[in-house]
Amino acid sequence: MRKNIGERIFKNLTLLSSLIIILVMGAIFYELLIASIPSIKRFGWRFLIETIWDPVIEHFSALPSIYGTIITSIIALILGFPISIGIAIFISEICPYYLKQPLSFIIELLGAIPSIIYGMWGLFTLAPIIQIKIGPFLNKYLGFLPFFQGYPMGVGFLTAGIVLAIMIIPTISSISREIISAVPKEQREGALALGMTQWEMIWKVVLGNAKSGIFAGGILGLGRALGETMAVTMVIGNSPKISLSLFSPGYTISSTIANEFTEAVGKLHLSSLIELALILFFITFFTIALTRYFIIKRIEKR
Amino acid sequence: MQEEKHIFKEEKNLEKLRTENLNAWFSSLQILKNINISIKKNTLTAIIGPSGCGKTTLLRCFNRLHELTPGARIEGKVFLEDLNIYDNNLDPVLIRRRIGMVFQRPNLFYNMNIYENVISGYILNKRKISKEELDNIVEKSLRLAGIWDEVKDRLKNHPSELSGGQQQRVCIARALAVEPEVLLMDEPTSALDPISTYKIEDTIKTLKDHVTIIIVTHNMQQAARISDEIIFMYMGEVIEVGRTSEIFTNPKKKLTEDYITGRFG
Amino acid sequence: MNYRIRKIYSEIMLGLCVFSFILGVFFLFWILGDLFIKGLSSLNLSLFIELPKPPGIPGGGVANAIVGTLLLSIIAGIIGIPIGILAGVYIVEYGNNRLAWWTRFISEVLSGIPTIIIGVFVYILIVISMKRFSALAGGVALSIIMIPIITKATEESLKMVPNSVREASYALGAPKWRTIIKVVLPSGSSGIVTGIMSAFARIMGETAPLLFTSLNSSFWSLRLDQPIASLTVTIYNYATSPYKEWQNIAWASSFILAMIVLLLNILAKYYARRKTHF
Repeated sequence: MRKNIGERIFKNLTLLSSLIIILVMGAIFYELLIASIPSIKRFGWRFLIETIWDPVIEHFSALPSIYGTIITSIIALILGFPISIGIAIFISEICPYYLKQPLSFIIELLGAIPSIIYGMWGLFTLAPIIQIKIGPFLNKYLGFLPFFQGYPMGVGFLTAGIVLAIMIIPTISSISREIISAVPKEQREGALALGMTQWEMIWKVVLGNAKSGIFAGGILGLGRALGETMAVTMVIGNSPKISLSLFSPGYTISSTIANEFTEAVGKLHLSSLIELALILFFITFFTIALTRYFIIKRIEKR
Repeated sequence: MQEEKHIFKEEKNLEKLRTENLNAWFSSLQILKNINISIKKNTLTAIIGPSGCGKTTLLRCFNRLHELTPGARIEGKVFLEDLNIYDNNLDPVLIRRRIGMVFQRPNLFYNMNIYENVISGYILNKRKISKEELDNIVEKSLRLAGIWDEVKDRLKNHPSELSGGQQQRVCIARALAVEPEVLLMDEPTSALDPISTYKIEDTIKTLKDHVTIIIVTHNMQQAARISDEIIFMYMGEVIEVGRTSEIFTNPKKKLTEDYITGRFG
Repeated sequence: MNYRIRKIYSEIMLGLCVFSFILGVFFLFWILGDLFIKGLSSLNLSLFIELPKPPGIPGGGVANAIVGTLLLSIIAGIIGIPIGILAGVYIVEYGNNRLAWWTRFISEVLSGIPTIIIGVFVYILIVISMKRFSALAGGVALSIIMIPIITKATEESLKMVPNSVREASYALGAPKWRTIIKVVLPSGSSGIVTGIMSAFARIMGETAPLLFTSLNSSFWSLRLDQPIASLTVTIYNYATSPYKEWQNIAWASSFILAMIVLLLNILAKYYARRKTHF
């Protein structure tokens, strides 16, 4: 029965590998939770709603980081989502067939650039432009809005949001493109035969069909924006402030961790940083689960 | 039915494969109902019947392939000579080495060249054999499958370079290379053009001396042309068994007659 | 609305889509162009062969960081490739059950977890218990990022292998595990290799999970239990430093990194395009 032994060993190895994946996931949650306990005990729910993050007096709360994470992600989605959809429509509906593959590859390259390089570009190229050109311009013409008040320093929410917007474009556009391409040809022809213009066909029929899939793509992009670390850390200014002004420097959850983790001397400081990681873990877990839900829903519709 | 059993009893020493109350299911759907048949050594038996009658499932029960489909279940016994292949202590792998199979569509391994495909039975079972012997096996098997002359100069080439008919004959060579006692063929020509079909039928006829062949076909002319024995199935049951000439000239059951005269199916 | 207006509206919206695409490409070329101009101008041989020097002293390189990035990737590959492939095999070949569903789901979630969290996790798991930052910790963190990518690639390419090929192997009397090793995996190999290459491209560009696992180092080191330099962390440290010459080295290193990563991506794409026979 020598053969049987080989079968058993191999099968168990594959099983073990599967279990390792599940175990790692469980361990991430468990370890983060255990290591956050000092912080959870000390601050309780106030950790989520207070606004002070000060290592000197050892008082920590997550709100400034959560606020920065959400603001930058919203900016990224507002700027990046329409552009991504536009790109997806261009590649699947407008450009000639033989260009589809190479053009989507070019957009995918945006996703292949390491985030540290986005950070370099954001810090040394984009930030000065925001400070000297775009910031003053927005301040001059839209300064009546609270978002564009104050003096643009270059680094801050807006810069981080713009960098994130570029970074999530490949994620959203590639998923949307796949889903748009999957809309059956008959549907398009039917719409055109009814006398719709090409845009009406795209808007009502193609996007109508692809709605939930595109939404899922948007959430995946959001997930990427929420968790992105390096690019944001380099351009957000790293200061635990809550400000409506997008020119203001701030913090995101991930940039707080990246910036302070190795320098955290106090036990409570480290524990608070790990609790931040735990919060980020929950947020991303939730968004991915939501995406899956929408993708499953789309499949069921078929 | 009584009469056939009588004939088989007389030739019992020649019996190769026998089923005893064989039933098979796909989840809750019963595909085979109480099959009791006997297949003689070195004959060519054709299983015919309308699509969905269970003929392919029956064939796949002979080498325990059916049970690999999710939801599949089997009851009953199949004897290869005196060995019950559904014996609990028996590794199905050992059975499949004695009973080869050729499938509906050519399914050569695309990660191997033609030569390696023919000896893949040895590669996959880690049987160590000298290079010389392997060369011999390859030539012998390809000759048996009637394709040696067409491929002998490109044995190291990728199988996708061959036509569908050629690939199917290499599949036959691959199955023959491990010297099986029984060769199962599941509509081996259904995906091929008439000329390839003709060549393969020719090959099959010459193989009878080496191996017991059971072929599933939906093509009655084919069954008439090549087989010695016919098993006619309908709705998961064996309706009639007999010599090919008898079945086609003098079927005993009305259902068989209707089918072979093309009234349904 | 009359047709003329509808038609014009349609043209405008389509024009906006074209504009979106141009904008995307514009940013790509802007970023890459920046990288070329600033990176190439600071690129020199000493970068590849010298160790880092203190600010103010001319010269200095990132040779140790290049080696470090390679070493970290090798560690990650040694851990991540077998686990990733085997888990993919389990999902497709053995998994008609809930565990396979969960493996697929968890693996998908894992691939979306921010990498900084994986860094924190490995810090707690390995750095604290070893009481020091180490190349091993960095490699483990990167392997956790690698595994779901490879699992997914394996899963997808094995699903493309037609069942008839497996049956052909079974019919020859091959046991399942030998069928998988000798027939199924080789048949799906191009997709798996593509996945492995993209996974390497991905982890070589990762910074966040290394910040507090492998940390950084200004010296030559190949020891697994010591901190080790990596290109990405070096770039981060140099870029955020106030010294102009260090910032220049950061640009040049970014250029090197981008070339490695883009090359791997293009190779992966090329490999995926190779003729598949199914």
